[in-house]
Amino acid sequence: MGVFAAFVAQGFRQQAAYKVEGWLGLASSLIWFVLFAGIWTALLRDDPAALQRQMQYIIATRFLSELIYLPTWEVSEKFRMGDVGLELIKPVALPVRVLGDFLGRSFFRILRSLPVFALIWAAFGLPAPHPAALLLFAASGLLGWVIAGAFQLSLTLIALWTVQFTEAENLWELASSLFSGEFIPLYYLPAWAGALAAYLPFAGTFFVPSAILAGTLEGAELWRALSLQLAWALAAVTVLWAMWNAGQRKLTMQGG
Amino acid sequence: MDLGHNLSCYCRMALAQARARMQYRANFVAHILSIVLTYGGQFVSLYWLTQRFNTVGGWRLEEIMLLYALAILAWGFAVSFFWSLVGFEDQVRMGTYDRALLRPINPLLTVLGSQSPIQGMGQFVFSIAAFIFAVRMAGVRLTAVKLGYLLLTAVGGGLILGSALIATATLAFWTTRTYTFYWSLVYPARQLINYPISIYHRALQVVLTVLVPFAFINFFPAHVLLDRVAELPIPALAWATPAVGVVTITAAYEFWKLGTRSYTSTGS
Repeated sequence: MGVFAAFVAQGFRQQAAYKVEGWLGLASSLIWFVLFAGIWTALLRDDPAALQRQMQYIIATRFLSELIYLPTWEVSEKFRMGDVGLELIKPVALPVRVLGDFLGRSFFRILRSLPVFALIWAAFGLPAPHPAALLLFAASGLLGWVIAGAFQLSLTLIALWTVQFTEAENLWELASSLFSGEFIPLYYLPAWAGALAAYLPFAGTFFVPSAILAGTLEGAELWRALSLQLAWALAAVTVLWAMWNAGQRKLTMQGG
Repeated sequence: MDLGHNLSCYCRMALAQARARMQYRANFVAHILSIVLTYGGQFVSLYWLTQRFNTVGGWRLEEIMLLYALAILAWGFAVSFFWSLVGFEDQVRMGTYDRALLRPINPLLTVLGSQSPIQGMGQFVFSIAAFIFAVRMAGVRLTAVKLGYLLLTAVGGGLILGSALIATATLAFWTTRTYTFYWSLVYPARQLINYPISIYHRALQVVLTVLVPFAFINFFPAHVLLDRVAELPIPALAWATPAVGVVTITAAYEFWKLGTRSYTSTGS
């Protein structure tokens, strides 16, 4: 755990050093917010209560998209160039280093954007969230990061067998864009799609934490969703660990 | 250096790149498939939204699909001819842009010729399918004038997006960065026009018309295809896409020339 924390701290410092990226990332977040806010304002114009909840939901998803920033293509590039051989001789396993680094960079990103999203929240006159909802949002958001991070890195590790293979990650992105709730909350999907999505891992990445902050997930439903999220997070870590252990023995290296 | 010589050199380089790309057929087909799937996912989201809410800002599914089709068609042109600019920072950082400066053709054409011109095939496949779907569903009567204007619009829209990519690449002369500028600014800004710009705040509508004129890629010309030109506050905007394309690409090229003056190769 101490080693993982060290990589988190290093990732944080690294992201802080890239000032231009920092500001551009913030501008990017704002453009995405404007896009989603525009669409949902047009859709829910006649229902102020639903629109208010949706604005809270959008701010939550935009904030989470800063957290769930997983540049796995950097790892893919190592496989393509054959640098992965160097990874094997390092004393700390690649998933620990990569995910620690990603989390550190994400922490910097969310710290940087927190004041902006808080300002937007206030500017729209949205009600202050309950402290318990904030706490649950933070915990659920982190679980979502584990699900997305561990599964996506597992898909990247397929390259240990094939050198280059990004199709699996593309499919994850596609399924995630439909079922994660990043754009459309599950309760606005067609009934069958919403019911299916609730059991898939994607719902844990955006929908569950965002619905908690928007106050649309409460009571027994909330605890059921959190339990499922925890189960998916454990499954994701198990898959990642199994992939890494099996993959090291099967490694196909560029130039080897 | 005359235009004919420049264009003939560019064509030879681009065709060589296309031949090289086609050596990896399976990879090329997989690339097209992944592009079609990505846009297909966006279509499904839009379909679900309009199932639930009927319209988005008064625009029906087929009308928004027409916006999608126009935007992706223009993007197909831009990707085919200008995509190499997104990775231009590598050439500036590594100093390999020197090579373009030493060749007897316009350096910008050397950069553009370093990629395959069939890169946008996935976009073309999807946009044509989306266009046929939208035209059928929306009951658009396609006349010769509309078809001719559609072609001009696609080229004009491609030039507008190409200008954005040239501007992005030019920034590399000062900042040695292009990827971040593209993914943080141009990419999300492109997504804004997937929906009718009339749903956004008036200030943003002005930005998308005057400062970053992406609205000319699809929103304004879609009014011609849908016979709704009269609904625009300034109807002439619907016909302005080709002209806006020429103006933006000229401005972007001037900006590029300004940027090249600041190029200092690595080690100098």
